[in-house]
Amino acid sequence: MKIIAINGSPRKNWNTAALLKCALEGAASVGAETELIHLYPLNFKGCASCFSCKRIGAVRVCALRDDLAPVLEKLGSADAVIFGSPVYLMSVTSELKACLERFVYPYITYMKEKASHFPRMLPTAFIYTSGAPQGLIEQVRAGLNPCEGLMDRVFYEKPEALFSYNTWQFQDYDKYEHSAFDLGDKAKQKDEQFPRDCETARRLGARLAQRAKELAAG
Amino acid sequence: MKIIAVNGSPRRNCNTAALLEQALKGAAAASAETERIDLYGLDFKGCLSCYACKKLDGKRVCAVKDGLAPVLEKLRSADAVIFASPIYFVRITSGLHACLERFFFPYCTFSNDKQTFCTRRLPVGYIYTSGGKKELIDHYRHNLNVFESFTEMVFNEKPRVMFSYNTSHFSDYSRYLHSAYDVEDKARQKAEQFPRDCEAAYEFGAGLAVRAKELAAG
Repeated sequence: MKIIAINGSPRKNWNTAALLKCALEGAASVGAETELIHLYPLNFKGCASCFSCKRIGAVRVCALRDDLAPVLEKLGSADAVIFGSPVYLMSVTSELKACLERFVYPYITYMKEKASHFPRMLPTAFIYTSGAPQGLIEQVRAGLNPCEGLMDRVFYEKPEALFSYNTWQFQDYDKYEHSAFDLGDKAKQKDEQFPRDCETARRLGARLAQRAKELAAG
Repeated sequence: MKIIAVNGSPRRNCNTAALLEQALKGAAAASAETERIDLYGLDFKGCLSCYACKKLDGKRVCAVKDGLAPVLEKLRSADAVIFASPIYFVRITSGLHACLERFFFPYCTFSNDKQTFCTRRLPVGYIYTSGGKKELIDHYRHNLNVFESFTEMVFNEKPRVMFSYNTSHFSDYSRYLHSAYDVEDKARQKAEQFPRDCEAAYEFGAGLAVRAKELAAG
């Protein structure tokens, strides 16, 4: 049983990656094989509108051959997938969007008869980190990620979502303009809330792996 | 007076590009110098969270040096800009999204005292094309492009917007699975509505150029 985590943050060792690693630890604790993939070192773009995946008789996978192709292959055969992204200007990152365009779109049909070409149930989850506080993110919740609402239709299983708010953005706040942030509040979040978010991510990973195991057992 | 048009579609000669060309013709007729930039031919990624633009003594421009850097420089000095994108998953493309992350974020402050580092009014236009019908797009209108909602805050001027709905995806529908689409309706749209949309795009470009001229005159 294999669980893949996709890091949609440009930073490899910051909040988003930390939570993804915790989720994979949780998955490993119930016996899953795990892999963390960082998107930003890869050379790829989003969907190129070639429409190969909509051709009659075509294979329903993205036809583009670039660094994302082997990743998409892994995602298509994984038993569960976790996507992580910081929230930039009220949205998941452009890089995660590009990956989701290429992963999800080939399974979506232009047919009345069926909605998805994907052959089985696939458990998925999204982990969002945000420098902004919870109240602000809740106001823009519906627009954060266009694909979250599609997962159920494409992969026959509702995705889980985990949020970590008000995260620590820089090593040293003294070097940056930051009067819009309450540093006392940020420090408290870093020392008290973030470790709890890590624990929540571990439980999410374990739950997802458990669900994948159930599905694999039939 | 210079107007820059950014093509956020991976296709260089399809609906989005056609409307963009018309908009630039309209701008040129209003005596603007114009330039079109095709994003998908460039090697770049979105914001890397380096926060160089938020440093106390930092320059309020994106520090990443890649294929997008010269484009951002042109956008910063333009008298008006037009961004065009097809709608994928009820959003602008990941390519345009990546460009807008890098164009907008350096102007956004982390300060209580001001909201933008942009010190002038910049007319910004958005052109959206969509294979989906108007009703569908209206339903998701609010979340199509998060940057549209930030435009006035950052560039001190309300953005202008135009749509072309129900566009043709392919030149030959018979090669694709397409039972969700009414091919006759698509053919009618292509023959009758799209030429009208092209005229509207021409006026749209001319209007932006006139506004840019007004602003330049003070």
